[in-house]
Amino acid sequence: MKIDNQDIIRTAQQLRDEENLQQTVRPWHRHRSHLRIPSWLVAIPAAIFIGFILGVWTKDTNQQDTPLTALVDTIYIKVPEPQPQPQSVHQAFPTVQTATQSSVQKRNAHKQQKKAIGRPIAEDNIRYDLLIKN
Amino acid sequence: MMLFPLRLSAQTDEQLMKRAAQGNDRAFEELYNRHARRLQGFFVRRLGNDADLAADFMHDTFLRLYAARETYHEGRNFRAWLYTIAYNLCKNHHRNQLATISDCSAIDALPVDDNIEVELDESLLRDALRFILKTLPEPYAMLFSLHYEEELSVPQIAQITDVPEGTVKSRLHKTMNIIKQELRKYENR
Repeated sequence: MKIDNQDIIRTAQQLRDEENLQQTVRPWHRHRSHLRIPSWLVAIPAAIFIGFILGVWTKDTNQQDTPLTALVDTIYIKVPEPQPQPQSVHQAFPTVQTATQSSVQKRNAHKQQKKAIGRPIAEDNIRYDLLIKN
Repeated sequence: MMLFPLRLSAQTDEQLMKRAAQGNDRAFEELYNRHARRLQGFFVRRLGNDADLAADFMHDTFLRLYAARETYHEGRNFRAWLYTIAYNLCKNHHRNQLATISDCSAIDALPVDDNIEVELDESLLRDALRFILKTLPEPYAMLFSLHYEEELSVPQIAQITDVPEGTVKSRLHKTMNIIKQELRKYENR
């Protein structure tokens, strides 16, 4: 058989088709490693999460700033009741005495040091030193 | 404005590329499905029958095309663009492999003989041609492949290879002569 250009071209194209058919081509989506997720789908949950974390964190810091008194529910202070005193003639009409220097000091000291009676300090777990400072 | 756009499979390569440039990934996938197999076959023939390397090069070509899809302008021939990328990848590969790139000027200077007659059986022609195409000097094999196997036009090949059209025609003619001369060696077998 006499060979011309067309025979060569036709045969070359047949060989090409045979080779092309043997190729195993991967699908395009397997080539693409980057996933196309809408940005809002990431942004909204991320904003919610960040907001939640910030909220929890700020709540923690606010609790540290609260005064110690806020942590104490109730402080019971027992105030001494005045004792009923028996009425007598002398007591009804007491003798007038001039206040000496020592009795004035004693009275003033008694006013300043008003004792409160309640639960023992060791048991109530209250930082009284901080309360006094504030 | 097209109210009812055509199905992707009914659109031309250029229409699909335009849509891909506008961000339509389905259009790009359609282009891939159309051309991937043929392009991979081209790489197999041009890279010495290395199927894995050919698959990687085909992958690389489409990734480059995808990365540059926004630069596509209307009127540009899609296949010419695709094969420009593929041609440059092959060229760089041969350069990096330090392959002996034949000096075309020596073959270009050979006189063209239009009267080479060959007589062969068809089965022998297939076997002989398969071998000859693998042993052709690279620039000629590339031109033969682009024109006769990939069916690109001479102006497109001139654009792809950055060679004047006249030179492409002349080299294609010489390539055919080289093939015929090689085929004559099989006549008496």
